[in-house]
Amino acid sequence: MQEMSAEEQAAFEHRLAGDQVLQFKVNEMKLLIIGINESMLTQKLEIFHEEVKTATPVRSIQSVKKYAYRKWLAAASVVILAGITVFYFATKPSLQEQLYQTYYSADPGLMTTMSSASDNYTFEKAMVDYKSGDVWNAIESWEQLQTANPLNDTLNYFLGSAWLKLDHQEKAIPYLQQVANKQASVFNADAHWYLGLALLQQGNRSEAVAEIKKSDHPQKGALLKDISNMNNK
Amino acid sequence: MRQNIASGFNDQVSLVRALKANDDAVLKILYRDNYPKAERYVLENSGTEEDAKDVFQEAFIAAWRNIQLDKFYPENETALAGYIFQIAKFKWIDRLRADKKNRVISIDETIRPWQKENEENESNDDDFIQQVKKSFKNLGEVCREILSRFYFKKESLRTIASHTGLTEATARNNKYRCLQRLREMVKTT
Repeated sequence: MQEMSAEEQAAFEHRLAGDQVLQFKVNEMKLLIIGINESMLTQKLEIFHEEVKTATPVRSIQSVKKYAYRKWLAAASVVILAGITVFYFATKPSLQEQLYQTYYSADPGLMTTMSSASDNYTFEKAMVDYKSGDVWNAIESWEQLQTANPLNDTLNYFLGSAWLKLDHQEKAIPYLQQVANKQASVFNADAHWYLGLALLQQGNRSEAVAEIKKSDHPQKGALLKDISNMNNK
Repeated sequence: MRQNIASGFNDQVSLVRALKANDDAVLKILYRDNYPKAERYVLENSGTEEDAKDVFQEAFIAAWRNIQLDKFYPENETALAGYIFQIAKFKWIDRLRADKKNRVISIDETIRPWQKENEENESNDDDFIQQVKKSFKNLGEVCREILSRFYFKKESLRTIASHTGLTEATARNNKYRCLQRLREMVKTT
């Protein structure tokens, strides 16, 4: 409604007044949006509460009155700080990060035949998305399948691989852990390798080493040696 | 003395606009400045800090919802703070009533500022919204990300596309598909 001109809005409201089906649809849409927003607001309130309980310094009356001005200043500070931080880390990545970048190479994915069986089709279409770089779409499809089959090692392995491809190591770890715990899985050894790399990138060296040792990756020995050298620095 | 957030706005329109836009800083200050009073009330009336947190957050969301739906239009910060506190207070009294072991101080019960006429319709709407919230939790992470960026953070499809590595057209399609999926999940539960 906010994007309509006054004339369009008046015409829409006129139509709405005489059309019960449209009224229902508009109301349903409104409630869907309220529900989405309340879900997000609920999460926000938990964060605000933590801040209240950890005694965030109270803003003065004057500073509140200058809220709009301060907001821009704060935003500018955040941008500058973020810029400095990004610059610092871009120019000086941690040793773990350097090793991760050296040894990580995305899983190339599986061959696809685009079977007509519905679940296989969804899986394989997602695999095409994964390989062509449309990783968000792949994750979306695999997540749906994984919800119905939470223990499926193929889905868990490729969800982990997809999150790694997007540089979300923290999201990849739980999926890869499931496959790493499943010795019978054909993806078990690879899951150990990628899990080890993800843990390394996250700064968890000891667990990373344990996982990498269980993999059979050709670069396993070299990576373990580099981590050992890093520990000695 | 602490001052409520709306003092920072010269007019009522700015305050309502900021709340409708889910302005993070405004919501945060509103929470921070009004929670202590509600907590004091609950603690003085047989409640715990956890109870205070629950009823205050319920009240906060109820006030926010009524502002979104244009059912409440706060004239100033005092009105908004008073509104949230009234809701929290009545919610706490209702809880105490439900627990027969407790006795509650007597107050005027005729006013429930967030509940007006059409209670039956409001109850149906509330059931629907609760269902949406449950289903949203079970929606895939990608869909939650897109819908929350678009509807809660009010980001444009172009911005969403740049954050997610999608084209603007794909972001639009995905937003539509995700909303459809959420609608279907609500209908089937």
